[in-house]
Amino acid sequence: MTILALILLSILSGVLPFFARRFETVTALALLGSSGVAALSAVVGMPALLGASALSGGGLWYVDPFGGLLVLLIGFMQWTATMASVPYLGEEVRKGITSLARTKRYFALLALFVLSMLVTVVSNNLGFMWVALEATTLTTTLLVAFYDRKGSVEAAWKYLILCSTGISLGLIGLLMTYYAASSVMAGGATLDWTTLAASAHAFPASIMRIAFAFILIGFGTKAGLVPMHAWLPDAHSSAPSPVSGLLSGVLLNAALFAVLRYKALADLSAGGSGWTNGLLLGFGVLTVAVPAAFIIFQADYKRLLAYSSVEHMGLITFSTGLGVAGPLIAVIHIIGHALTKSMLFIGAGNILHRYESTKFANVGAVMRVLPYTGAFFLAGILLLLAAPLSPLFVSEYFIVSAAVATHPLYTLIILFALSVIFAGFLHLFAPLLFTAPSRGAEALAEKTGERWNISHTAMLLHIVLLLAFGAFLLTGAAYPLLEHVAASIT
Amino acid sequence: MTPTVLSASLLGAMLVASLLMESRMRLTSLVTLFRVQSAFLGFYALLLAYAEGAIHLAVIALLILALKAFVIPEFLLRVARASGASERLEAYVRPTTLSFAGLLVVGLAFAATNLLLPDGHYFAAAVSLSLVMLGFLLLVSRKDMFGQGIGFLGMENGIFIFGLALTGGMPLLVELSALFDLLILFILVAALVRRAQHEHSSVGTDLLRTLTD
Repeated sequence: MTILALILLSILSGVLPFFARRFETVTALALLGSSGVAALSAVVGMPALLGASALSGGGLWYVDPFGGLLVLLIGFMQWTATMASVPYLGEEVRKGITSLARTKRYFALLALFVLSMLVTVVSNNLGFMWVALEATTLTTTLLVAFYDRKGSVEAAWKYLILCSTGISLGLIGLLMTYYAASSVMAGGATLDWTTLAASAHAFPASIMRIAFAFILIGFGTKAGLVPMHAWLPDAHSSAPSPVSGLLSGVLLNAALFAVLRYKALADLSAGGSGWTNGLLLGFGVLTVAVPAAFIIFQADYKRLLAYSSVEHMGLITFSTGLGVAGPLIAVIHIIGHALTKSMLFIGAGNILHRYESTKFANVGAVMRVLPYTGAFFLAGILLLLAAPLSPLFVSEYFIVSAAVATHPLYTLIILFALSVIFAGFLHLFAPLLFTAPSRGAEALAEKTGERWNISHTAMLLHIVLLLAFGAFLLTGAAYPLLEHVAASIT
Repeated sequence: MTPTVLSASLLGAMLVASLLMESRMRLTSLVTLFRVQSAFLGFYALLLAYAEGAIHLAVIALLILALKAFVIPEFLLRVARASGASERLEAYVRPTTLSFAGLLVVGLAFAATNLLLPDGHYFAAAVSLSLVMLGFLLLVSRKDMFGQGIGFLGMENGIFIFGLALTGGMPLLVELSALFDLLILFILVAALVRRAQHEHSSVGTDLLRTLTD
């Protein structure tokens, strides 16, 4: 019931802004709608996170603790993204980049995007999960192509074609799973995951192995795994910044969530997780190592953040392949990365509007020019680079200690890539924050200073949550809960 | 003809249509071939519906015929005419090379199917994999948005055969939502084609190569 209400409310919050005539009313209605969605997400997600997995809606919906966690993340982050959208779009309307009609369309697409992500993580039926995952691409394509800027059409085209092709390959994996199920299940096969999981031990392992390979490559495209990641830096940097934050922070995880659903089935049918873990570890290492090269020589800070998302998806994918300890690490890393990355994109949006450029060369002295954004951005960078008290510090420490004995070579590659990325971030962001830009330094003086607005509140909320979660991880009390969530992944 | 012979010839015809598509360099002839292939797919689904007495398959078959053989191709051609896009399509290599590559791909697909799924449904699975791989070849070898879009549709047709032959189709509601997704996808393709034509006066993807590192 509550899930149905959540879905209806998401649709409603997309429709609401169309009834307003003034910008202030449009944003107020959007905020109202997204606050409602956030509150209902908490109602759906919290019981699942803390309690047991629950089937509802006649077997249509299934929320386990991990799904509940993602519902909470989606609900919270779409709320802060909507908050940040208000000053972001306000600035663009003032500058004449965006019109009021486009603002309404923006909020409608945003609401549909959130809806499709929510359906992806609460669907019990694998068919509907597939449809919803494809719908996340469709709803965001026009957000990627939101600006009439050079390169937006290119980014949107690559995004649409590559992700749809990937999702189509995933459909082959889905059909093979269905085929495997129909060969053993009496009374006809179903696509309900809970039913499939109950009899997956009897599925032909050879078919499930191929099915999982298709799923990993197909849905992996959507999760940004290397070498299927070519669309990601373009799409994530072309979209309006609050949307980039959602794309990087939660959408990638929703795609990985779908992969993990199939991993459970493939593992049950094979009676072990050797095959799936091997694939996840391999793709994971590649996905951490390749972005390192693109990060250290990056000229555009939004693209750099996008590449960093690829790297973090690699770490999460790698940790899901680590066996017993893996899911727990993945859960910590997913929370930490989602909250940090979306906050950094919100900050990047503020920087972009002040300097009107996403190139490092044109931006500098952010700490002086935008004191609040600069301070939060610096905190975000430190959190992203896994400075202690960041949840990512804990998860990366666990990854290394869990992997070093069993996969020494992989661990070595990951540590090397992480140090290159660390160096790249410091080398690029220290000048951005502290020294004047090489071009346009004289114009900078009159731009100095900023007023606190709702986007700063959103960033601060993220930082407070991250630090609280980081501190919580240092106490032993966090682990029973996290183990509980992790247990639903395997 | 018996249903098995009929279904095998329909599958064969779809395979030939996909192979011919590789070397078509004019928009109308490429779209026509796609229409023919989709019509065969629709008849194939109808045949299965008749053989298994499944009404939901007949519904899907009619929707495939309506959507893939009429609505989407007509829509693409109309967008092309309205935006003044060129009738000539472009590829990275010559059409003859593409035909040859297509044949190789088919051989590969049949061999791979033999390894992966040697038991029942061999021919249907092999044709379906061929269509997916030929569609992918079209997708990566073409330099314009229309060729790439139709390559994607060819892949989709292959996957549809796979679903129909191996599992008798997914539940009706899921199939319907999947077709709905496909329709939205093509509305988006049309929107992007129009914008590209407006901005660059061309739908060539050569001009869409500015975002690199």
